[in-house]
This record gives sequence, C-alpha cells and structure tokens, in this order.
Amino acid sequence: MKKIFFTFALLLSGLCSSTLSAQSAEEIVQKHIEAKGGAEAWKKVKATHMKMTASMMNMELPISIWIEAPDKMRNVVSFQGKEIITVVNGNEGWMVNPMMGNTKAEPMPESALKDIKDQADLAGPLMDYKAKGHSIEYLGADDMDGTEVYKIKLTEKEGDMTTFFIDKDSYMLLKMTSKKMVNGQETENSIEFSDYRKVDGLSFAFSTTSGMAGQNFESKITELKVNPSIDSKLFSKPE
Amino acid sequence: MNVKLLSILGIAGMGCILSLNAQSFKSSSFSSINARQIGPAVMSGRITAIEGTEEDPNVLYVGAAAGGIWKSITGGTLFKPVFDKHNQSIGALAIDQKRPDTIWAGTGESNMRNSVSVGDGIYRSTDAGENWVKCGLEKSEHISKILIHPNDPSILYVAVPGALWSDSEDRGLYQSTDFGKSWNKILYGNPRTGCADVLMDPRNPDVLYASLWEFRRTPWSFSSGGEGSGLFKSTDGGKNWQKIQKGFLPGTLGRICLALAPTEPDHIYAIAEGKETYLYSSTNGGAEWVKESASPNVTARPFYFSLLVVDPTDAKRIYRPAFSLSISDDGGKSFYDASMQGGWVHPDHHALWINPKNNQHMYLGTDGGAYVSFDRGINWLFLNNLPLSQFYHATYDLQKPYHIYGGLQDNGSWSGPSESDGGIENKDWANLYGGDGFWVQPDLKNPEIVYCEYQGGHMVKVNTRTKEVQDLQPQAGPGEPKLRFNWNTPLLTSPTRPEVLYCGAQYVYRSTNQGSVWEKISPDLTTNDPEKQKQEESGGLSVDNSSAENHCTVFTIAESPLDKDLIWAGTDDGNLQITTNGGKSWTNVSPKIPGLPPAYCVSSVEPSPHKRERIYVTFDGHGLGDIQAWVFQSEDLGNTWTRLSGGDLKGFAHKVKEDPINAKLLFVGTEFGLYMSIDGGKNWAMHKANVPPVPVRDIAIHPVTHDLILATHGRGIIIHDDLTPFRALNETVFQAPVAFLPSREAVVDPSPLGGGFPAAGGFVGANPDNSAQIWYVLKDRIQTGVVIIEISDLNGNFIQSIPGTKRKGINMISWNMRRKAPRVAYGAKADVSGIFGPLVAPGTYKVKLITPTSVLEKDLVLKAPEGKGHSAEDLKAQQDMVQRIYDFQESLAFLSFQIKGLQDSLKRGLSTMKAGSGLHTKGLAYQSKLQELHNLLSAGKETTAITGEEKIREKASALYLGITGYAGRPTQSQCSKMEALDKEKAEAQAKFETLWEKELKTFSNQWNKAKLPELKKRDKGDFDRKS
Repeated sequence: MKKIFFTFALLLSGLCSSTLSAQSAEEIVQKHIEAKGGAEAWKKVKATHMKMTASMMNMELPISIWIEAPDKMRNVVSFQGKEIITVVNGNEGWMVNPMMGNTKAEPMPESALKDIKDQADLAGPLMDYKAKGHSIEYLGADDMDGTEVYKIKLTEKEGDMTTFFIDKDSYMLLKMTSKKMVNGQETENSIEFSDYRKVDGLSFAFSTTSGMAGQNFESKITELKVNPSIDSKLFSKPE
Repeated sequence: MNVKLLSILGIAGMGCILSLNAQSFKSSSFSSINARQIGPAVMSGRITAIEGTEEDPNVLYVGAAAGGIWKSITGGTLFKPVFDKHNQSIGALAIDQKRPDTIWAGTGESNMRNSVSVGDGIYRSTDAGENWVKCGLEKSEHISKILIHPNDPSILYVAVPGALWSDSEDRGLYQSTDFGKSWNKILYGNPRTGCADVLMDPRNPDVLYASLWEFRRTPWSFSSGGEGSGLFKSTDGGKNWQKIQKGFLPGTLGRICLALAPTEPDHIYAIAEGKETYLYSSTNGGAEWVKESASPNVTARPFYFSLLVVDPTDAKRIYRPAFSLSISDDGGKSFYDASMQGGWVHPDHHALWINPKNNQHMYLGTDGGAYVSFDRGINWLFLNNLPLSQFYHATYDLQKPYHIYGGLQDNGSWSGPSESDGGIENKDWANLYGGDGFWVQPDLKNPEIVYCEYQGGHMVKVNTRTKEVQDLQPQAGPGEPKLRFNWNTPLLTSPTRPEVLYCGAQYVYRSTNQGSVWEKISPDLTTNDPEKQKQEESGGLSVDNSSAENHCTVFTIAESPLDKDLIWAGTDDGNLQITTNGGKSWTNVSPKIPGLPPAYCVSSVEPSPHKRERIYVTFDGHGLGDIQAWVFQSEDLGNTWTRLSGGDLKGFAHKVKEDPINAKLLFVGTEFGLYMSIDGGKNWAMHKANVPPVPVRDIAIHPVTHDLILATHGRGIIIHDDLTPFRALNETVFQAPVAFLPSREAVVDPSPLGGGFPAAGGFVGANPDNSAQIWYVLKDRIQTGVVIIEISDLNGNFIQSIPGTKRKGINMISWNMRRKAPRVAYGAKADVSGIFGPLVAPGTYKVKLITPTSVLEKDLVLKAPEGKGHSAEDLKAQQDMVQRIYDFQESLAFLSFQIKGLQDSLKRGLSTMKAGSGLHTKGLAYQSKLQELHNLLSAGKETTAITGEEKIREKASALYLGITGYAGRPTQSQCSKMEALDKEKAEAQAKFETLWEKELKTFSNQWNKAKLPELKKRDKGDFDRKS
C-alpha cells in the first residue's frame, strides 16, 4: 500500500520534473532529428518531388515542386490554365509569370534566390548546422497556443534568424518563424506544420499553414516521392 | 485489495485531471485571435529613452513610458514593437555599441510623475531585440540609466531610483560583472534614496560619477530632496566613493542630473535641484564647480526633467530637454530655444539621442512622441507612426461606425472612428480639447455636444459644430469650503438617462441640463483629512502643485443601469459610498470589506447590469506601496463581499467590467494588462492576443457591435471585436473535443467602405474583420490530418471549403462570404474575375466543421446590408444577374477548354511527325483554324504591354466586376451588355460545333488511327475533372 502511493507520488513528481528540466539546444535538436527519421536516413535524401494543393483566397492551386539537394528547385503553380514557374539552380534563378503577359524567364534578385535556396536544404537547416556555419540557441520552453514547446533559435552565417518551435512530447517541428532581409526589406514569416506522415521512414509534414487572425493559408501534400529520378533539364532556365 | 487500490488511484487520478481542467481557459486559449490596436499616433505618448546604434544610425530603439520598445531599422520611417511580451514601462535603454545586437532595457520609467508606471527589472537581448531575457533587479520598480563597460561587456552599471511610493532597499547604484547574472549594490543611501544618474569616463571606465536622490510620493504629496541626496565619485570602478561637495551645492539637495562631454571627459555638467536650482560645470572631473545658468527651462521640474546632453564633438554645446529644448553654445552660461519655424514640437522632453558620427542628426523623445532633426535640433520632424497614446478613459457613441472618445495624458481629449476607409489613420482622429485629457463624454442625444475636461476638474461643454467651448466646472457657493477636484475628475452621463450628467469634487454633483445647473447631491464623501490637503506645500525642494496631488476627492461615480436612484461613489482616500435614494442619504461601506487595507483609492465601481444588488469594485493601493490587484464583488449592495482573485490576475487594478449579456464574463484592467474570467471571477486569464501587458485604465463594451474597447495608458485604444464567442465560453465547451462558438451576424456587402487615397505615411490602425467568422474550440491541438470548413446552402449545394486552424483552444476562421471564383477562359493575361468569386446572397447557410475524428454542423446567418436603399427586388435582380454572368464565364471557360484540348493533342502529335505528310498538313491547318476560333474568346497577345485587346472574356470580366461590386439593381447598359455577350458567345460556340461536326470529327478518326495523342471533343465531365 505504502509502496504504491510512493510510486504514484514518484510518478507525479516525475511528470513535474520532466517539464522543468532544462535541456540544451544541442540535445533538443538531436532528439528532433531522431524523431523525424534520424540523421543517417535524412542524409540519404538527395531529392524530392511533391505535388501539393494550396488553398488561398478561395482558390485551390495545384503546385508541383522538384527539389535536388543542396541548391536546386523547380516550382510550378498552375493558374487559369497557365503555369507560373520558379527555377533555382545554384546561384542562378528565374521566374516565369505569364499572368501579366510575360512568357520570358526573368532573373531572380539575389536575396529572393537565397530565400528559395534555403528550402532546397531538404533535411532542414538544423541538420549539421555547425558545418553549415549556423549557430543555435535554446530560448526556453514556451506555451505555443496551448501546446508545450521548446524554442530553438538558429542564426545563419549571414545573420538571418529562424526560431523553431519543437513539440515537447513528440519533438516534431510545429512552427517556424523567421526574419529575413528580402529585396531590402525585413520580412517576417510564420509557418505551422502538422499532419506528419512517414514516407520511406522519414516524417514529412503533409500540411503547412500560415496566416493570421482568421486568414488561413494551407498547403497540403497530395503526393510525395523521395529520391525520384529528375530530368536535369527541369532545373535549367525555363524556355 | 487490488480493486481498492485501483479505485484509490483512480480517484486520485481523477482529482488530478479535474484540477488541470479547472484551468482550461488560459491565456493561450485565445492565441488565434488578434485585438486591434487603432492608435492614435497623431499624438503619440511619452517617450522615455531613445538609443541609436553608432555603426548604423538608422537602427534605433525607442522606449516608451508605458508602451514598450519600438525598433526601427530605417531611421524612423518604420517602427515595429519588439517588447510586447514584457513590462511596457521603459526607464532606460543601452546598446553595447561594439556588439550592437546586445541591448539592455531597464523597466520602470523614472520621470517620477503621479501617473508613472512600475517596472519589473532589467532585460537583455543578444539578438537585436528579437528575444529578451529578464536579468534580475525584479524589485527595482524604476530604472533611470544603464551603462556598459566599453572594454568588458559583462560589466554593467544600473542606476535604480527605486520605489516611488514606499520605502525600499532595492535601490541605489548596482553593478554586475557577469553579464547580468548577479548584481551588487555599490552605492546606496537609505530606504528613501535611490540612484538618479550615473556617468562613466570613457577614457578610464573605473572613474564613475553618480547622484543619489531622496524622494517620495504619497497620493497627496510629493517630496524631492533630503539628506540622502548627493553627488559621488569613484575612481576604482565603484569600490570606494567620495562625496563631491567642494565649492558646490550648499544645503539639502534634490534630484541631480549629469552629463559629460565625450570630447573632454573631465568636463562635467550637473543640474542640481536645491533651494535654488542651478546648472553647474566642472572642467576637472568634479574637483571644482562653477555655477552656470538658472534659466527657467534649466531649472524646470527636476523630478520630471532629468536630462542634459553634451554634443559629441563640442564640449560647450549642451542640450537641455525639459519643457522645451534649450541649447547652450557657451558651456551652459546662456541658453536659447529654437524658433520651431519648421513646425510645433510637443513640450516636455525626456530623451535625446545624437548621432555621434553626424551631430546634425538627432532624435528627441517628448510627452507627445518622437521627433527627428537634421539641423542640430533647430527643426524637427514628427514621427507619426508610434501609437503610444496614453488614455485615462474611453467611451463610445452610437454612430455607425461608432466613435471612441477619450482623454490622453498631456495630449488632450480626442475622438476617432472604430473603422474607416483604408484603415484608421491619423487624419481620422479629431482633437476636442486640450490639457491633460481624462473623461470625455459624448451627449448621446445631441451628437454635436461633447463634454471634456483637463486636470483638476476643469470641465467644459464643446460644440463640435460651432467650436464653442463653455466652462462647466461647479463652483463653491458662498460660505462653502474650497472644492477639491481630482487630477482625473469623474465626469459621466447616466446609463438610464443620457441627458443626466454627473461629476465629483468632494461632493457628487448632478445636472439635468448639460451642466448649466449642478445640483449637489451628497455631503463631503471623503475623509476630509486636513493632513492630506497641503498640496500648496507639495514638491519638496521645488514646489510643484499641478493638481496631480489633489486628494480627499471623489474619484469614481456610477449609477446603476437598473435603478436611477442607486448611485455609488468612490473616493481616492478609501471611502466607498452608496445611496439608494438618489443622493438623499449616503453610507460608506468600505469598512465592511474584509481584508481591505484602509485608504486605498476606489479606482472603479461597476454596478451589475444583471442584478440591482450586485456591485464590483476595484481598489488601487499602489500610492501606498501595494501593487496587488484588489477586486471585490458584493451581491447585497455592499453588506458582504468576496474578493476576486486567482489565475493570472496581477497588478493594481483600474477597472472592472461585467459583460452585459453573460454575467459570468468579467474583465479587469490593471497596470499590467487585461484579464478575463469566464466563471464570474474565480479564475483569471491574461488577454495576450495583441494586447501587450500595458496599463488598461478603462474598459467599455459597445452595446450594438459587442466590441470590447480598452483605454490603454501607452498603446492607445485597443478593440477586441465582438464578444459573442466569448459569451459562450464555459468549462463544458473546453471539455468537448470540438465545439462551435457563436459570433455576430455578418453582413453581405460588396462595398462596405468607400474608396479614397491611402494615408501618406503614419500609423494606420486595422479595421474590423467584416467577414463571416466561424469560431470553434478544440480540446487538443490536431496533429494528424486536416481541419476543413465546408459551406453549403440549405439544399446542401456545396459553396466553399476553407482550411481550418488546428490550435488547442479557440480557433477562428474568416469566410469572405464569396463562392468559388468562376472558371475563366484561357487567355494571355490573368483574368481578375477568376480570382474573386461573387458574394453569396444574404440568408442562412450550413457550416460543416470537419476534423479527422468528427463532423459538426451549424447554421450561419448572413444579413443584407441596411440603409443602402436597395429593395428586395433590386437585391434579387442583382443576384440573378450575378448568377447569369457567373454561368457565362463558366461556359466560356468550357468552350475554351474544349478548343485548347484539341489544340494540345494536335500540338503534341505534330511535334512527333515529319512535315509534308497529308495528316501533318491537315493537322497544321486545323491547329490554326482552332486558334482563330479561340482568338474570338479571349485576348491572346502574349506581351507585358497594355494592349487594350478586348475579346469576349475581357468584356465579360469587366461586366462581372461591375455587377458583383454593387448590391443594387444592375443598370440597363449592363443588362444589354449581357445580351450582346450571350450573342457573341453563341456565335463562337456555333462556329466551333460546325467545325467539329463538319470537319474535325472525321479528321479525328484518321488521326486517332495513327496512334497519335487522342483527338477528342472533351465533355463537361472532363472539364470538371481537369479544372
């Protein structure tokens, strides 16, 4: 009897202490990478192809994205029977936006290019962050809209900052906020991740949402292939 | 035994769950909503600190008296708040100029006026203001200066004047040598004496100068000066201190502010408050002093103006920010003021930062906001983008949209709209009256009349049309004692009879004729303690009687909305008086309140709109050194009382409010934010949804829009739109996995606001979200799967689906009341009509909330716009026409889809064939015939030029936008245009059908036999599948 109560008390106190114990940034990042599939498995991911549906302003737009690590990406949005194409290939990038009648590929400004290139880091910037020249800092635990999270701040070599909100229970990434200089302006972004599903043993957020106060923009993955074969022409300047 | 054990554990477990559940309404429960900060910034608020970075002077930080920290990286053209999670009263800022990402912020302003807020310690950011960590000094309450050691950033000096209203040992000069982990008090006087200022010799950081200041406020007096005050010097980094006296400052001293010439650090200036206040200068590090100017702006209000700045390149050029900005070019012997020909600058200056690389460029902080100068402080440009206004009270009128009225610290009385074309801009706010503003009361029966006041009960009736202002202040009659009006004198109208006005001195007055006649309806309701009425002696060394210390006055008056003869009056000296017979007799019930210390100011009285006997009261004891929240409720007219506390509630309370619809929904505004309770005051959650922890001085609830209106003392007016969803909150709602909440009915209005050019610069407050809102509560965050909101009409026809949010607690999704946009024909450029779906008709709709585990359904009612003069027939005619043009666009898109489908197959087939064959030649010919046909449908020139090319699609698009943008009957021209388009489309359609039937059908058989990409006339099913 006494023992049971003791165990019960221990259980309760255990619950408390686990929420109180401080962890280092390094530990949290390790557990996060483990939770999403492990460093080794992620390092084998060289490319992805995703088909998505983005809901915005009462429209559902089909999007197709090809990514090849570390710095190639092609993004095609279909709209009114036309295709808005963005291609990034290393230090070059182009955009074709026929919506204004322009069918020629326009070169992309450098800061916008970088922003897109960051997305080609398939395993995420936290993976091998040191080797990439980034630094991380633990900002403490927080209550993110009612969910307990750890906050990790990543500062890139160039000074751009991203804060990761990592679920205390699952160690999955729930939200990312960033502040970057794009086209000479400080731009703030906030993206939430959910609906994690496993593809080839790796966890992907099949739903990403952004927006504030009632305006919710969601992208849903409808199809995802890991390490597909991609025609290298897809990453050349669109004709 | 096992069963017994299990049951014990079960019960214990249950208890655990229940106790957790009791707090399911938390701050984080409503993180998905955003209150609206609407300013104004046309008059900003008191600025207490400005620091720029030397490396890039466009990067600067502005600290406000009670509005947080604002950062600009553009020299002031754009500011963003960076401290909204923390205490909003800023006393001092310091940037480590060698590592400008490190910033220190001391909370608690040190301009020690009566209305000053209270800080909670020192904070540090190491990422340029992005994140802040509290680094101790929690009990300091007020911090006036922070110095960073130039060679070792882990060494800091912090001047802490400390508590204003009570003894405290948490004051003096503090030093940290470990980057703020721990602090040593290195200079201290006594529990009444703090450190006002500190200087460091930049050549030798071990040389420090610091001034100690003895001071104290009570609610009825202020005292500056005493034996503790003095000027000290250390030459060993603060280990040992010498009092500086030689040739300097005879007699008792008050506040001393200090400045050092960066080019000649032995050249020191000090304004020392004494029996006579002077500016002194020393050219030898404080060994000897010379008396300099005592001009009025130099000696002005030393407790409030404690700043002196020396030019970074010229040791003899000194700036004295006080009532105005005075400048000396001769080392303080004489001063002059700039003429302000470039525009008025708000008086009362507290912060000045000079760009050390360009001393023409400077920023000034005043009681009315921040300014920038490019000519050494002669002309100034107002930065009209800082919404830091400091309201004391706020109320509303019943216009559409309603206007908000309120008085501002040092910035008069104002009114502004709750929404406006393009957002609420500076130009939308109207100044009503001057001085310090407090209560402002519109005459609800006569929209031209507004009652305003300035400090000390100087109340007036303003006619906003004729611009006439009539003095209304009650006057003492023959033989009557002098009237005592509070700094912030109550002036309000009756909730039962809008024509009845109340105001208070030591008596309560009532008027039924716009203040022409005041009837005294009470005896002196205060303690009338003569010891608390010596304001003419107040101030200490510098007498300062601005009515801010007026005491033994009535501070708050409230008539019951359920009984005009039931009136409550609270005094600043602790009496809570009630009359149940319209003022014939009064009873003080505050002695009946258990646990309440005596003499706390009755800051608000709120008679319940639900039950005559119920009353809520807040008491403010901060003037006696107690910053707790004291909130009470009585159900029996004040005979017995319950204290409301628990949860997050903290800070001295200014206002309590019971919701007029749901009596369990309560609000309290304290010095540290807004708090809400959904259970009648047992538990309190802090409202953090775009409401910073700012002093909330007043709370109003609009009876028509159900908006919660906050008068904040540092962040202007904040509106939390529509309390309807919150009125439905209770524990049961939080226990269900998913639950809907109601919201106010939306209006389907294609043109809710007019046009107009956007403001040229300046702050713009957000308009309310006028879309249909769908509110729901999730018990847990949804991690797997999606949330979808599906809208259909009552017959089940699908209209729209919107992705939902997945947060734990309250979620809100806006539906713009539009259907899906019509599909549009293929064309060279984007078609706007394919982006904006038409508004649905007013009426009832079904909303389905689909989560991975459940489907909930409810009705959603959309109202027709009122007052626009459209008959039901007109509205119907518009809706019919919308449907017609919508169907038109869709069918044109279908035709385009069919043609493009054939073209696509031909194109793909032709590219694989050799030229010259019969099939190839024919294929080419049909390709161009089809293109000719499609050219009838839409503009096809692929160029960025503005071609003006108009085909059916372009014409239909213009008609679509015209018809969908106006709720009334379409014009004759629009109707005949529709006819013409129908005809044009029918012709194109016929041409296509003929081409297919007569030629292409046969050709497709030959083509398809050759195993080429199938040539086929696609049907409606293909169209729906593919687009």
